[in-house]
Amino acid sequence: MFSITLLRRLIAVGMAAGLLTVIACGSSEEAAAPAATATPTSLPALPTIAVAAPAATPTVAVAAPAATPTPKPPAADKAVYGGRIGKSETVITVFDPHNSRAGYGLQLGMVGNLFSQLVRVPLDTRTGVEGDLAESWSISADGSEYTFNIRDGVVDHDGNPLTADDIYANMVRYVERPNGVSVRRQGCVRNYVNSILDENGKTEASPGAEVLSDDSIIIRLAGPRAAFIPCMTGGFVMFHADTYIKGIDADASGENRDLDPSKGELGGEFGPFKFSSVEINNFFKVDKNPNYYRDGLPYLDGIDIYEVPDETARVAAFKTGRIDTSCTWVCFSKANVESIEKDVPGTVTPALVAIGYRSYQINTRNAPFGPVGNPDADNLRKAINLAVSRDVVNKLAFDGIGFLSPPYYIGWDWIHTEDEWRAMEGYARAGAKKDAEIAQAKTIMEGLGYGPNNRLKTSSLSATAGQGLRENEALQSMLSEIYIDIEVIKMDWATRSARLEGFDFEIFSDSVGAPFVDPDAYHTNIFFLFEDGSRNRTGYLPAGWKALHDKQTVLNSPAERAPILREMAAMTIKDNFMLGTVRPAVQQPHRGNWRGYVAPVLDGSNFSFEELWLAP
Amino acid sequence: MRKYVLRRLLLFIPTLIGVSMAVFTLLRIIPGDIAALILSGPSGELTYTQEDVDELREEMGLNNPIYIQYLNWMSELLRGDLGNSFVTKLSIGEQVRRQLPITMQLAFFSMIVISVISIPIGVLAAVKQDSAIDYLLRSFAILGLAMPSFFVALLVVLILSVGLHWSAPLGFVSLWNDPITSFQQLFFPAIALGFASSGLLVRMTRAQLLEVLREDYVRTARAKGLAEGAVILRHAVRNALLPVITIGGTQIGFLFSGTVIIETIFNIPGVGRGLISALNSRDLPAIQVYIIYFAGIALVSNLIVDLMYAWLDPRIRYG
Repeated sequence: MFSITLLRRLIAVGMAAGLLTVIACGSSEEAAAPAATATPTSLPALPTIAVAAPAATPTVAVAAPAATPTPKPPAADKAVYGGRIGKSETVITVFDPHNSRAGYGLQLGMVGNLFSQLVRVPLDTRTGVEGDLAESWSISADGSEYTFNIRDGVVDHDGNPLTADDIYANMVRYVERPNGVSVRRQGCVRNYVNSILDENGKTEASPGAEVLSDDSIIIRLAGPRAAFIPCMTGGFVMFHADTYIKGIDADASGENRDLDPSKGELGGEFGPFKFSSVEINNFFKVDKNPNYYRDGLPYLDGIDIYEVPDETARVAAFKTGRIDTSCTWVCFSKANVESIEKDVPGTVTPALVAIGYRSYQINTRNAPFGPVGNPDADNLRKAINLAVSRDVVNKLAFDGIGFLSPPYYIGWDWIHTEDEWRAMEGYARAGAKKDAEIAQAKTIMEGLGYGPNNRLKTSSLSATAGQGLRENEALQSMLSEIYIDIEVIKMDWATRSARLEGFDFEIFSDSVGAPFVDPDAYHTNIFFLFEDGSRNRTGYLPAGWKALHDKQTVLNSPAERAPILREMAAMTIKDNFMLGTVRPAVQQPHRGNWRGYVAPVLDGSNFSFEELWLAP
Repeated sequence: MRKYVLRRLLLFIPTLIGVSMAVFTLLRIIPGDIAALILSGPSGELTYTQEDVDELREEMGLNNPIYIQYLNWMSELLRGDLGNSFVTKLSIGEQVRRQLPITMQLAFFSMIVISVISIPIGVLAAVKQDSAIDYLLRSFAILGLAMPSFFVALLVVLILSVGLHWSAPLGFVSLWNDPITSFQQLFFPAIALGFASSGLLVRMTRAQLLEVLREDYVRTARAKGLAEGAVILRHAVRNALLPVITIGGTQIGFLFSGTVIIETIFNIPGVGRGLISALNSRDLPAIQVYIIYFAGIALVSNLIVDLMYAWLDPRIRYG
């Protein structure tokens, strides 16, 4: 009797579990087929430096470095159409290109693919500037007004023609942030462009954006700004039709919301690929746009992007052909890249320069490192700078794939070349000269009364793991030689930032990306004091630096700007308050059958795959 | 019985309130500014101004006293509104509704794996007591208990991708839309997730069966001349499984907590991966909901085990 009851109840439990499963199953999409692999390989190269041309009509140039070892197809190689590529991103959630809450990689990776720009860095050379949605542009004599003429025959993915009103709506978003749209990654547009609307939503007397006709718009800056066009080419500055954003921006609730793909709100884009399907936290797919405004492009049928947050899973997916390239942002460690290259013959790994600055910041507000002008404090910081070997940092913290990171280095050979930087105090290559610098640092420390039995105790705020921790440990090791003991205090970024905001630190290592390729990005993001909206938490800005900054921002010609920027660089180097070190390259492996693709500069240009085709 | 169930259900309320208060408070007293973390981007590289931080803090309601924040959150929760994510601004309720079926699918698969692996192995080990087979199978069980699920998961990924050049298709699909792909996506995570529980259940099955095999009624069955297979399967195993099922039930909570790591490693967009993602971005409202969800799973699974025990064995009554 008992056994029959037991059996019956077990069956009931099984059925309930089955029912649970029925309830459990939702909708989804088919999975990706493994991709084909193919041919050659090459090594990452140092960035090449492009010189910005003097300003005339549409030729305000942007210097964009390209560390791109992508193989050039043989002459006989003819581009072929077809194929899809698979890509990973760490998160797929938000789809509004102006919403900085969007997954960083998805957002940046879709610029140039789903979304278009007004002007962009050419995809084949990754240097200079060319029109994208703008056919041409002109600059007023005083350099503060830009008139953009819109390209003819552009239609969005819904089939509606592009007009200047669309550009205007985007400019209002950037400058006025209606309903709290975040647009924090496009801060340079907001900083440079005049207000468009007053407090009551009425157009200002001299608005930052004004539609002149269906196909032309004028953008007025608060003053002349050499960096405006480079800012507009930045990887996060994109434009789409006003069809859907207008309603969101005018929503009476006063709160910005994301574009909702399930309601068909991804259709106002102009890019070479158009939205196909999405499942949040799962995948995002785009297909070829047959009405793309560049004839004959794109070559691919589409791009499938999968959310793969775990690196082990990404490596497995690459090795087994489920994805053809990595994420837009940091995706694989160097060890994993090497493992992929070993297991997937033909893999090509461009080393993308992530423009920005990486430094040890020294708090000069208090003793022992401050204030600037106190001879002991000045000597102490000088000794630290001399003892820091950038090559050692590169080796210990960045697996040797980093780039030197003094101010204005990557992309600005027209200010200083690498050799010139290397000649500056503290930046010498590992070898006799560096050894002499370390010996000099030791002598300075001994002069200050420190020695083996009287060591200086200090601390640095560090990340809990990874490169951030390793660069602090490298500093600990290097300064130990000059009688300085550093306690490396590990904490996550949120905790560190709370300490930093209270200036409760002695040394900390910082890493800041620059959102566009111009020295002005460095100034606004890094060197101005933290209180002025930048990342410099040292409490010090050299006297006269700001005046020089203001002087060069209005000069469009690199030839005129360079000497001023050199002077500014010398000032920042002299006082040893922010010690530029090394910025890691971002390695982005892809399969060897890719043709026509030149890797972009991270943040500084878009990630369009429109010229990419797959060798059979 | 009804009274007992009602009492247990009522006890859920103070327990969940306690969990919610603890989580809510702890998340807010840990050092660090969430607004700054969100603004600084995935690697702390992005720039922001103090104005941005202040604006975001205000927008997220972080400037209110903690108890006001808690009461606001609870009142929304009681109205069935789980709130919006700090990071994505999307509805957490919708997020969980999307993720929960996926996690349940994984847990269900895992339970099947556990049953298929552990019960036959446990029975075989008991029947072949102290033989080489028994030692081998017990070693397997101990291995299951000794290896944490994340380690098993990494081993599985490594063996599949490097050894067999295979990985599951990306882009999760449901069992009903594409059973074959879904099976490919869930089979190995289910093994990794269920391996530890299998170890426990193998040992339980073996121990229980050995005990039952020494009972008088088993001896009687044998004396009646029944075949050994019939004695074991029809008489011994059924009775030995009762406590095994009970222990298996307690593993439900364990399985769901295991999904946190397994879903991340095997790229399954379920609740577990959602929690990890929320933790990484300090998405407070999402973390709170996920923790309460896991607490709820633990409470419900314990209750189900207790009820199942009484239901399966009519001699047991509560209340």
